[in-house]
Amino acid sequence: MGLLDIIRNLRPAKQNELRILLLGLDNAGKTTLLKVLASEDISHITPTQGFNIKSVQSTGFKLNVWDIGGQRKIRPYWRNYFENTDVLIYVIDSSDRKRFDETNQELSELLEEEKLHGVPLLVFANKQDLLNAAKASDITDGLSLHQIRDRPWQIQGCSAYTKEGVKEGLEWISKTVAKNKK
Amino acid sequence: MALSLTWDVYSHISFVPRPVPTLLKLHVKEKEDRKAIRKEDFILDKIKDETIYRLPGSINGQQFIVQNCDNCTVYVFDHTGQIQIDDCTNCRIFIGPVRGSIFIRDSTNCILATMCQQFRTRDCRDLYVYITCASQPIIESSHNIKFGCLTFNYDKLSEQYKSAGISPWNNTWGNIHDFTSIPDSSNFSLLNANEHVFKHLPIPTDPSCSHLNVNDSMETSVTPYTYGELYRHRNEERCLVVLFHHINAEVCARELIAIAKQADIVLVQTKSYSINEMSASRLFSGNAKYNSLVTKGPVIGLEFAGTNCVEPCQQLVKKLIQSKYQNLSYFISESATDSRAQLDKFYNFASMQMFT
Repeated sequence: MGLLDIIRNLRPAKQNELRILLLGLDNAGKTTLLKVLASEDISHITPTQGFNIKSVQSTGFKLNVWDIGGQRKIRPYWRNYFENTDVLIYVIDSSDRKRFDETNQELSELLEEEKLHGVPLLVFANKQDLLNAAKASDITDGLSLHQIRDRPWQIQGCSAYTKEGVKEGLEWISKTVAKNKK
Repeated sequence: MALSLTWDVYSHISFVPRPVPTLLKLHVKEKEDRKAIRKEDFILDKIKDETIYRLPGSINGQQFIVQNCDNCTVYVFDHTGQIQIDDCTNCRIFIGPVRGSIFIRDSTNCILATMCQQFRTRDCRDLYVYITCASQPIIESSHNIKFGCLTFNYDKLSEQYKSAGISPWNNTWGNIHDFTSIPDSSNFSLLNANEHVFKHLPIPTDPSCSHLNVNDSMETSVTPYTYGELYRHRNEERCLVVLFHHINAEVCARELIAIAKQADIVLVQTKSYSINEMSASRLFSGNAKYNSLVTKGPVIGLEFAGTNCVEPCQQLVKKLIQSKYQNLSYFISESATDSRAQLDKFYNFASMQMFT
């Protein structure tokens, strides 16, 4: 069973498509995460120049996960993918302390976006397996996540490489989406 | 300890979320060894005018960071997980096989040599970059970046490639993607074969690493020297040789490259991947013999170039296989026209199967 099945199984029957947007700075690990979500091999991954999309089809359900390249130059294009987003996953390289301010800035701007208003936010504090990684709790403070009042959010420490924490993040998504659609 | 905090939301009752901070279970266990190791061994910070060595076994797949250094020479003779190089000036850095990415930012006038899965720059200028890179190297907001094919060897390097999951046969060192390209000019250029790495990176002289037999010779390099993009638009005849999975395939490929070189046939590019059966039948025009061969494991493909090179390539391969590798199955282009189409397919299938 792939990790995406967790969400698929809990999705309300009337809604048969879930659109998940994966954003974050370049080198955060978005594509690796995308491949882990789709239960694919992660030994060959190239820097994303445009976007990757993985659809996982199941009986009556379709999960579309969009992974958009994160270089500074192409971040203005992120907005082209905002429409109809059900869940925003924001990925952070927890070991890249030099760019915590930059990632904070980008996330703040995303949360101001009208088209993402109220969209549940899952922050993956990725690369927890690396020695310079900041803990998820420290990143929570750094990003001032506690001040978010207009949407459900969660931060989850994880390592897409070792797969630790990924499942827990997805379980939160399934719970949250189910609740929102009640 | 990773702390998870949740806000519960009842969006249909009210648009104001009701905060319910709950302590959830520990999700990512802090690694035992993370406490035991000294962080400063893995982070070089604010160092000036020094030469620093890390010997095999000292990094062992961990992250390594060089930041705020000036006029330093750094040799990491070990495999690593991820590399960051930030705010460095006038540094010369060698880093052994990197499982993930190497990211250099806000640095100027540096020389960097490495084998990695991903290579990235941002806000850099005046760099010499010698690489073996499994994916397309990318640069952003960087200028005057010179790329060269890294040829390198020392004792244990070959094993370190394996530990890092890096194949010496997948190297796209010169196929650069520039996120901020400029019209009528280029932010990067490619170095010729004679610009070998020790022309720019000092040869390590410290007695502590003399037993490693470090050298940059093309003949003994773990990654074979490939011309890559330097030959992309040249018109010399091409020939595709595919060696199917076999215990001696790598040795045979290296021997073939050496004898081809003597015959003035150059190696343009190599690629190793598991071809699926559908790709195989399209690549080898439905010849069923090859469909079963690809299921054995990854193949090694070699693109050779030279004036009228197909015929001499066929002779060299035939002779080599018959004399030393009788049990090794291979494919070779029949003609120059065939080979161009086969090479396109071979590379297209590779990028489809590896990166999507």
